[in-house]
Amino acid sequence: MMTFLIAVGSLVAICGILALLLVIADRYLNDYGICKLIINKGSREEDVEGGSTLLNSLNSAGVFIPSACGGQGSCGLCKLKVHSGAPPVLPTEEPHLSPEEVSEHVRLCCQLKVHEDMELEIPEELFNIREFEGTVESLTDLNHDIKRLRVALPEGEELDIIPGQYVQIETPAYKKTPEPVYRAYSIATDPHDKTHIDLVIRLVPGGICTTFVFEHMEPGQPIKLNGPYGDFRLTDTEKEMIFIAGGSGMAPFLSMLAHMRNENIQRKVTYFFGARAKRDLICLDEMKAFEEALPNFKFVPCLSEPMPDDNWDGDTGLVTDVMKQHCPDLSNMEAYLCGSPGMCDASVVALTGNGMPEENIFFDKFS
Amino acid sequence: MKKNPAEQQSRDRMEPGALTIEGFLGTDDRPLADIIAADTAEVEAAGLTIEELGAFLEGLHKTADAGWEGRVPACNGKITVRSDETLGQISCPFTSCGDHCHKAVIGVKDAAGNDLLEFTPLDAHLIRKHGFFQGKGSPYRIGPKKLIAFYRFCKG
Ligand SMILES: Cc1cc2nc3c(=O)[nH]c(=O)nc-3n(C[C@H](O)[C@H](O)[C@H](O)COP(=O)(O)OP(=O)(O)OC[C@H]3O[C@@H](n4cnc5c(N)ncnc54)[C@H](O)[C@@H]3O)c2cc1C
Ligand code: FES
Ligand SMILES: [Zn+2]
Repeated sequence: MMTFLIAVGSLVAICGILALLLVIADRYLNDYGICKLIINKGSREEDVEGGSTLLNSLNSAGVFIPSACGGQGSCGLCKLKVHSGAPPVLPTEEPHLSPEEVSEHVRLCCQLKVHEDMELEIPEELFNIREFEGTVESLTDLNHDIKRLRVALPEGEELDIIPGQYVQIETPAYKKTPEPVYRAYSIATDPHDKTHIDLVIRLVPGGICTTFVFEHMEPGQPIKLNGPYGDFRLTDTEKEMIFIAGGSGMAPFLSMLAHMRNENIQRKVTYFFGARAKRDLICLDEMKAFEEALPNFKFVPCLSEPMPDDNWDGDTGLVTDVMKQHCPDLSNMEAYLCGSPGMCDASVVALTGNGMPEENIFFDKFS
Repeated sequence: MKKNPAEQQSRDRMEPGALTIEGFLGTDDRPLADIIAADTAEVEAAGLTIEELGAFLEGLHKTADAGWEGRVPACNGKITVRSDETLGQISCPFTSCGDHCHKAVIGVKDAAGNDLLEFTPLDAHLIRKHGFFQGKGSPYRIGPKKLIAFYRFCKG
């Protein structure tokens, strides 16, 4: 009996010592101390706490790298050249990097952890991207699952945007989300208004950010956002245009149409907006006002499943089919799309099928 | 149970709040390999493969995409599919993978308009590529039994 107790006691003691050693090792191995980020051959240096991702470390140093996925490794936008201090390419980076990029040390900075000093190359224009702590000015229902969020920038701050660009907003830690997360939203603001950012946000059931916006956000609350980012924008040709969107894809077109009105741009444009039923349509009054201000602008809402009491006498069917009926020859036109990647792919098939060259079709390919 | 570092990294991404609000494991604390093995065995016992089931869902997502907000017929009119899509993509939680999927929920109805199934593009990917139907109690788990019955209905 005594021998058995001694054996059990020794085993417990050994396990205890091993656990302690693991804790100590973990503390030391994961404490990377302060690491230096040496940017553009030393023209800028930042000391950061080791252990975080390079994307977050740069953010905390006030350098904002384009990102549309909040650092999940899915958008492929956060590419930087990292000349030293990084491990070999990770499996989560591989799908986004071409062999040439790998040979030029291009990396996804959201996937790399800062464990030692790093030498980086950052394009100078990225130093213009800024972070603001704005205030939620209003949150308005546009329909049953889409809200317009209006953010006032801090007193004295202004932001110049190009219609089509997006910002990232921070969802603070809440409920089950232990860390803040970032999500991208297209800017819907009239570019003349440099002191506000308007966003059109659709609720994604069970989504981290949109649940926060719909259930926990209130006017007067502070909100962090950074940007502007993105290359989606109107060309400066005179070509006739088609816009295609559904749901919250409305956002960039509000900004683009306001810009056309402000600058008296008289290009012909037809906007096909796909929705299920009348209750899903948004911004009808604004579209009417744009039609009045821009004689060459036409808004074509199309419903795929109108309800009997919708009394709908407008276009019915899939938005791509309606577009094809309205525009049989697209060979000399341009198209601007805002929707999920699958929807954009479906539109590209429909547009090229009616003669539009693929290089005349514009959308955020990473979204 | 012992978990290797790669499994632990993937599990960390499956925790609530990491990639998604509820995470991927529900109340299931079995090792990932055990969850996958049990569900795969059920699929194979029915004479099917995880690739077939996952690819079938991926195909339905592709069909639904063509509709923007609209409902599209599939499987010779036996069902209709509609994708509630948002912009943005979600990464696969397996750290060895690197793939990512559209954020969407695809709703499937039968010809009479009754709801049959809801799935996300990530569900389809996780099943096809990893044999992972998610942990028990995960809000997006579609158990093999339900999925096999649905597949047979559509193909039968
Ligand atoms: C450039 C750009 C511009 C954008 N502009 C806009 C805009 O103007 N308006 C707008 O509303 N959105 C816009 N988005 C989308 C936005 O960034 C978010 O992706 C969106 O709001 C959803 O965020 P979320 O955090 O609520 O959802 P998330 O939590 O990130 O994702 C929820 C989705 O993940 C999937 N999912 C969750 N859990 C599981 C699980 N266990 N298994 C399988 N699948 C699961 C489901 O598909 C679910 O629908 C834009 C995106 C980009 C990239
Ligand atoms: S931020 Fe790195 S891939 Fe999206
Ligand atoms: Zn995967």
